[in-house]
Amino acid sequence: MIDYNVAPFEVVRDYDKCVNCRVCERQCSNEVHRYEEGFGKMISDSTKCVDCQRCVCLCPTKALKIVPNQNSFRPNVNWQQKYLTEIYKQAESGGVLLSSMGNPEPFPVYFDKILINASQVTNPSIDPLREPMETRVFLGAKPQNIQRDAEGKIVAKLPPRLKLSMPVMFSAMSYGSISYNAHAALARAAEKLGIYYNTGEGGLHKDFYKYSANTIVQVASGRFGVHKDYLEDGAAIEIKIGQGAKPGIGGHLPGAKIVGDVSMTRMIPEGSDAVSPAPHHDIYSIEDLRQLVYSIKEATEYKKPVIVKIAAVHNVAAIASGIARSGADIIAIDGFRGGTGAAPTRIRDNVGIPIELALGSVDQRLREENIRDNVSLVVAGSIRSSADVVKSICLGADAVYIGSASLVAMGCHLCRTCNYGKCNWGIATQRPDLVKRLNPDIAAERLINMLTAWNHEIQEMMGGMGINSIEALRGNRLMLRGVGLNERELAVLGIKHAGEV
Amino acid sequence: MKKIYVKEEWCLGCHLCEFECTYANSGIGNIVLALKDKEIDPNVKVQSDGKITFAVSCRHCDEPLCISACISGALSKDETGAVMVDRSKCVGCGSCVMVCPYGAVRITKEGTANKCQLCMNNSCGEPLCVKKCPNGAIVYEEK
Amino acid sequence: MNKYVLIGGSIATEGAIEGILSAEKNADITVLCGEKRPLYSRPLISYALEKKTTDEKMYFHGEDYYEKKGVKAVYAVAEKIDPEKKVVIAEGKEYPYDELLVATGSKPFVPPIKGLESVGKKHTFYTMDDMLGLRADLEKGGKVLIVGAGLIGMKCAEGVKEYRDDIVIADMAPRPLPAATTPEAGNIVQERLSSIIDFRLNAALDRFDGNKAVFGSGEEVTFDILVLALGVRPQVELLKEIGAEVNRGIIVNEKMQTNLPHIYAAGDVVESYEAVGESKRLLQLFPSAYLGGKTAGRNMAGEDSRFLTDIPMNATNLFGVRIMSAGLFVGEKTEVTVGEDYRALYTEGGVIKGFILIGESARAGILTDFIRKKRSIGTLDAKELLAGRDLSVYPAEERRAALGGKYEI
Repeated sequence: MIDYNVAPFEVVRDYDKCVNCRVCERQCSNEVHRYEEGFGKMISDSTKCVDCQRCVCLCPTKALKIVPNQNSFRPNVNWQQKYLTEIYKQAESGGVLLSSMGNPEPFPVYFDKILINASQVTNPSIDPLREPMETRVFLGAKPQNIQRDAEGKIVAKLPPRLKLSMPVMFSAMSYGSISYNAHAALARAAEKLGIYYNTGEGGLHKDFYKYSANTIVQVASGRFGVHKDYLEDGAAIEIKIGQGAKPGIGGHLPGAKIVGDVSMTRMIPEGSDAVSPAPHHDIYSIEDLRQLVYSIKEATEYKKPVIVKIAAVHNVAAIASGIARSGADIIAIDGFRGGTGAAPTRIRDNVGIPIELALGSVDQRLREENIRDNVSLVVAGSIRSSADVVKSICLGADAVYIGSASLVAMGCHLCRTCNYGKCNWGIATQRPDLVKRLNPDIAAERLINMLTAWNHEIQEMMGGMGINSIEALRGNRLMLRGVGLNERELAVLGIKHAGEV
Repeated sequence: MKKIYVKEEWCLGCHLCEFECTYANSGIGNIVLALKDKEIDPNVKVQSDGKITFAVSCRHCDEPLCISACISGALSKDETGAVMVDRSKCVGCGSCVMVCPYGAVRITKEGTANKCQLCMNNSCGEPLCVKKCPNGAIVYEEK
Repeated sequence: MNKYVLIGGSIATEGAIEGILSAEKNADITVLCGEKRPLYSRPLISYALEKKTTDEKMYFHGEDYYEKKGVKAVYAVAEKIDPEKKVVIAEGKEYPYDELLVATGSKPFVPPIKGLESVGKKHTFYTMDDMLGLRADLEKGGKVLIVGAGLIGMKCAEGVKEYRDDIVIADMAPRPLPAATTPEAGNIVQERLSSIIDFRLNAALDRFDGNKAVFGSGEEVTFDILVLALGVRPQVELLKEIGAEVNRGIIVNEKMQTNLPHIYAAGDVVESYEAVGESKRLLQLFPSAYLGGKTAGRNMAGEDSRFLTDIPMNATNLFGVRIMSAGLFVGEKTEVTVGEDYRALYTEGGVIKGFILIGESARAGILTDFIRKKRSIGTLDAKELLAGRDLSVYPAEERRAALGGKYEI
């Protein structure tokens, strides 16, 4: 049979610099590199390379680089090479194409078409090094009006809230899709930073119960790992209806990955496939959702906020409106660029809408219906920098979830082959020899460093606008202008075009 | 005093420490020139029991057996407590090799003893294996 | 302030000085150096002869070692100890002590051989003076006969080789290095060195006749320079005459104390506890002298220190043949010959008792530690251990403790 597969990458080694130390050989789980005794030099099988950059980073003399394989089919704007190679794969295997991480296709990235304001002359800038800047955020329902007692003190019967030191949290990534060490790093960093991390649908490993004050526990459609202690342990409980990378479908973690602690934490037998069904089979209407929200609140004595996470789809504003009336305290919306351990390629690349547009329309709708304060909004789906955070908040978000960005901070190079389970960075794998590579001490420090930097940058941008608290930034669309956007896009986002006053 | 300690749960057996050690002690500024076509003989060696790996270098013991056995005074403790080798004094008798319980000292091709000196004998200043370990498996700490 | 007096100016005294100063920073220490030289390393004399080191470097901690340590060095021979008055008398002067160390070492044994007085140029090979005298004679030319194929005789030969190609070594034993090696190992050494050394073995000396040595077999060897390397005898006289418990050496306990109060002994002169045979014997080894002296020093300064891990050890390189051995050659033997190299491991009841390695011997210290710690060989394979060893043969807990900084010797 003819092999139609084209290696996407080529390993280029500068033999003048290579000293045959064999680190590349030892550190490549795809067995790309090998020392060939006969030749007395290293040789590389580029067909196995996934461009994870592990060898490039570790090479002591920087002798390696990975480049796109220049072998090209005849140029065709419509039939791009990838469509051809995907058909070859499906013709060979008959299977659904699977992909990992977020949508890489050239749909518009609205964050990159939005610009932020700054103060000049009137409403002067604030210097974040000299003035207090409030980046703390509280997530949960806001009271509609303030009640005071006879002495004028606020009589607060506040619903349960989450307190964040900055408007960023670590997004849901299940134990099973990422490694134990990755979870350890996220948990430690969340604790140190004063924010939260999310268990995802894999349950909570017993070693991480000590981070309960900073843990959001997720109840997904498969209900993996959900038991009484699990719910009690979380600082908040998130009902996962959908995920930006694969809206409308469930999840599937192959039985080969359900071993040892992963199996125990998910509470399913070793070797059995972990299938999360598409819907929650007890949620078929908004009333059903309300019932589940209140069941969870009853079970946890109304002490913890309940989050409902949905994917950003066409009707997201109406769905959000329903959720805001269901008793949920926080709505999390995951845009179509969101990451995943594994999803069918066609769903990941073609289903869902951008988070910027979803956020714009949800925030506007909830304000119009006067229920914006019933809930806090958290957005996700490829928040890549502190600028994306500021833009999200201006568009109406209370906070953001970062998934892919956290993994990148820990070493991920977005090679998008998580589904093979051979992550060379020790993140998206359960192989002990690979998981070892992610030292949680180092990874936690990197997460803390990144968010500390982002926090400073957020303060700088806010100060530049003359704003000194996230509260005053939230939904402040006047601080944004679009560039290269049409009327419709500007209207959905609710912002003006650059140059307009 | 700060010494090198190994956390075998993080050692990946990548051997980078061995190459960086050779580079540090080569006296050559460019890493390619220091390592190209050279057979390395580093002061830190990655060893394995088949399942896990760990890097072994001189423990700079509080009561060094090697110094008690050294007939030429080549091995001695400096003011910081590190065990240093003066190779110009060494006569290659091998007594140090015979007493070191960690196998951390060796007689090199040149016929004299050599071992880790915490990069205090070269221009690195601080141990290069510690700096270059990609996973924090080798640390330089006070205990 | 205690007055510490140390008789003898070699390695055991060096150890004692380190031991006392570790407990008492500015201690009052006096050293009586009978050899009338600053501290030097005796094993280096053959290397100096061989020109592998220099005469200055034999003073391996510098000629000003005693000054650097704040120790009073007296170049005088101790003649008598008065344990009542607690003084040492050396060349007429009295040196009072609170704690006394006797580290008088050994001296070469010269048996009363017929006709020895008729030999013109004869040397023992033990002190720096011995080496300087031998060198002076060698520089003038002449054939060399070394009687005694033990370590001292063989190391001397290495030095002599720098001057002379034809060296005859005679010994009444059937092999060289009879005390330091096993029969198999000794034979290998002989085979490998037979092209360099003219060995006359099983040769018991009968008499000398001027420049001729006559052996029991009737064999005769002519020479110009004679070196006698027939062993050493501990110099126990000072303590024997005041009633100390003495066997072949001065008997000491694990704190290096003699049976006389305030009197310690260490180094080549003592019979001390040896951990493999679990009995007291003369070890006469460089590290034993240093560590024994250090133990004595610590105890003299009021600490409680015991030397319980002394074992026989030997590391030497003879004409490129590297020999390392430790422990006792008892029990079950596993031996391997690899090319010209020979290796043997000895275990008794599964516990490693001794080893000998000729040739490749990297990380031999790991085997030595097995002996010192009386560790059982467990599931390790003796032949693999002999082929090579690293820390993966240690029990995992000990190794982790060692690399993590919590393991002490």
